[in-house]
Amino acid sequence: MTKALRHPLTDYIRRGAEMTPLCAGCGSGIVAQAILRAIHRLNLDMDDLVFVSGIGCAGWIPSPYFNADTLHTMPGRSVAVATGVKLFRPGLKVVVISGDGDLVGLGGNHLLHAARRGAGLVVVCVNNGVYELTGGQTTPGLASEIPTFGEYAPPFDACDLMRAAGATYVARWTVYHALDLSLSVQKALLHPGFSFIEAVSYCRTHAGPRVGSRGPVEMMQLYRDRAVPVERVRALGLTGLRGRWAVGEFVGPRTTPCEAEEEDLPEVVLNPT
Amino acid sequence: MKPERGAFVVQIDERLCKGAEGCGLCVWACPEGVLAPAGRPGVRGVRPAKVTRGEACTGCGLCALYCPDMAVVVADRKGVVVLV
Amino acid sequence: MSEGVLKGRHSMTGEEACAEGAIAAGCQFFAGYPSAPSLGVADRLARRLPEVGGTYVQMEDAAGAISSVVGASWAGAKAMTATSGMGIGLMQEEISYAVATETPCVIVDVQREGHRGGALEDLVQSRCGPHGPHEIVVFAPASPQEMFDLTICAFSAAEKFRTPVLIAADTFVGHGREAVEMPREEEIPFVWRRIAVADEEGEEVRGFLETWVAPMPVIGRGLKAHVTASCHDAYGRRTALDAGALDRFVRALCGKIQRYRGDLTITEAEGPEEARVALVGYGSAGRVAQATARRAYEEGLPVEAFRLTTLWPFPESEVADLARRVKTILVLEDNLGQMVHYIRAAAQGGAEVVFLPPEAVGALHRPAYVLEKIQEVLS
Repeated sequence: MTKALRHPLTDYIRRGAEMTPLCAGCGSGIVAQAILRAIHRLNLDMDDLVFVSGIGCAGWIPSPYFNADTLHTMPGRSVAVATGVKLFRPGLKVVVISGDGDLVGLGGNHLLHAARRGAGLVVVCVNNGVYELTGGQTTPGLASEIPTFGEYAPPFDACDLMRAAGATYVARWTVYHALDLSLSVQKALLHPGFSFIEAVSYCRTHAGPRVGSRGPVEMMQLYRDRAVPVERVRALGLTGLRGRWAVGEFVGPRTTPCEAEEEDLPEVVLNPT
Repeated sequence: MKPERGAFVVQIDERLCKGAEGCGLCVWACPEGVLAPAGRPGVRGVRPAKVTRGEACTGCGLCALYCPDMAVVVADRKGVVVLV
Repeated sequence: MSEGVLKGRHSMTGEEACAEGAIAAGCQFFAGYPSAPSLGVADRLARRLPEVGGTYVQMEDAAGAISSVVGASWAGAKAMTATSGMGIGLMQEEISYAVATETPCVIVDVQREGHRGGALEDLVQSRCGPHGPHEIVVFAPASPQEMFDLTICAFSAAEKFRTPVLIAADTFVGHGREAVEMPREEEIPFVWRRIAVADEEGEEVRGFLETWVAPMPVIGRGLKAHVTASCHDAYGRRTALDAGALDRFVRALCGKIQRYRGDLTITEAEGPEEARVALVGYGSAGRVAQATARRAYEEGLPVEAFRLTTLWPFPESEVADLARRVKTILVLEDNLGQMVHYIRAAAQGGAEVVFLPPEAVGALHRPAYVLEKIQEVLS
């Protein structure tokens, strides 16, 4: 009988919190490890990090799971709380982890202004298109093609919003791209400006059945097939992109926010009559 | 170039595994078919993932990468853990 | 502009005095969202806080302001925000969070007079607004001097009891200009929260369970704090499975303030021993009560003024004592009755409680008008 092996990320987990309350196969667990893997690769001390999370299953990624200072805050306010932490203790690396409903929906205003303000937060947005904690109502996230009552408006492209708001590092990966996700988190942890990383995930319990999926494996395969690397987006065009998500790094890491290019401006502005 | 038989070991922690039927990501992720659902329930009342073709493991670490619960550890015969 | 804590005697508005009081108390972080009539506080701190090495930020809304105050407080700052009635409304969820997580912070509410929501409107909102079972501390200053003094007091209470503390001023107090005497720096109390130490075993751990206020595991110090507003035990661990946990959690949060209400209660009684009528007020109405009582005393009328400076926790026993002393309590409030209901409840079995708004709600009571009412009561 060989001696039991120790998971290499064990020290990053709080004693007594090893068994997460997340569903079997939940994408959030993969996001959690992608973040921890990045911290491990960079040899960062958990004592130099603060995790701020919101309400929703993604809010449980760092709290109480991570063996570090964790602030589990009110719905929609995690970015604002994180701003207060970062402004007073700029030497700490402040990581916000929450879901798309919490960050882009309810907390959308705080998110936009934090990107504009440029304080060096790392925001990991777990985008699964549903308010899973309350039963699966639709959120404004990109993945929200899940039929439900009450929300008929098309979803936001959170990464596009972040680019426009002035974020200087913006990336999107699905949980299928767990390694790329981890590498992006690594870059964000080293980036002095505002970083936004969208982790497109799935809710196998509330969203899965509604899209006819039988479980996490099927949803993972769906995500693998739907994701389009950002380099191939132009070649596919709008028709080819229907129902698919561009993944990759959209902005930076760069030192200044993106400025509008001439070709971005609508005709009516370029040629006022 | 495939590593020799039995060059790597895969360990599943039954206390953390939420079940290969409910989850099964490690079983799906493995390109060599090393893992499968266990025949009977474990300590958590679910059928965990189980190593059924351990000698085929190439140490790629994908099973551990996709396990949401950190229940999977891959290591070489000297006990050096694979972290992707 | 002078640096550091202001000294000497100055003519300033209540809002300016509040800002200087914050600096005197050691405030290091202010986050705000422009909300009249509290603007003077933010304006002054925007200039003064960086002078003393503090941080000032304007957030995108009131909820963002209080949220970043909570974050900064957990990062170790003495933190404050200022707003008015509608802002307090928007902040309630986060104030509730601050109560449940025992986050020290000061919230200044300069209430509006007369327009946009009526007269002094937040006395009950400041207490009952936050959801969930809780107690909260609210002071009502009556002058720019008190704005200065009570801001320092608020920081002391917030730090000592790890609670949000509100300063509920009215526009007259906020915008009015009077002389403010700064105490000598060595006379200014500097109260700092107790901070947790790592690997607590022994006295420190047992100690806080007896004093009801735990040392704060300020973040960024390797204490691996777990901060949540969900029901948790004395060490911050969520407890959803323990049936008694919610009971202990609720009782601890409320009990903490109730237990120390004596330290927090400030009231002022002024008048002859044989007083038959008491004029009860707070803020500017409290000043009118005192001025009117003095005039009444000159005319030989048995009138006492009783001013509430602490609104919450409500000074029940002090009001009950008053109700045993006098026959009639005239409650002066610049609204349609907020604190009067609590005064009446506390006075039960004693004096008759009569509510007296000003002739025009939104303006100050005229002392002559109040005197007329006193004459009616006495005859």
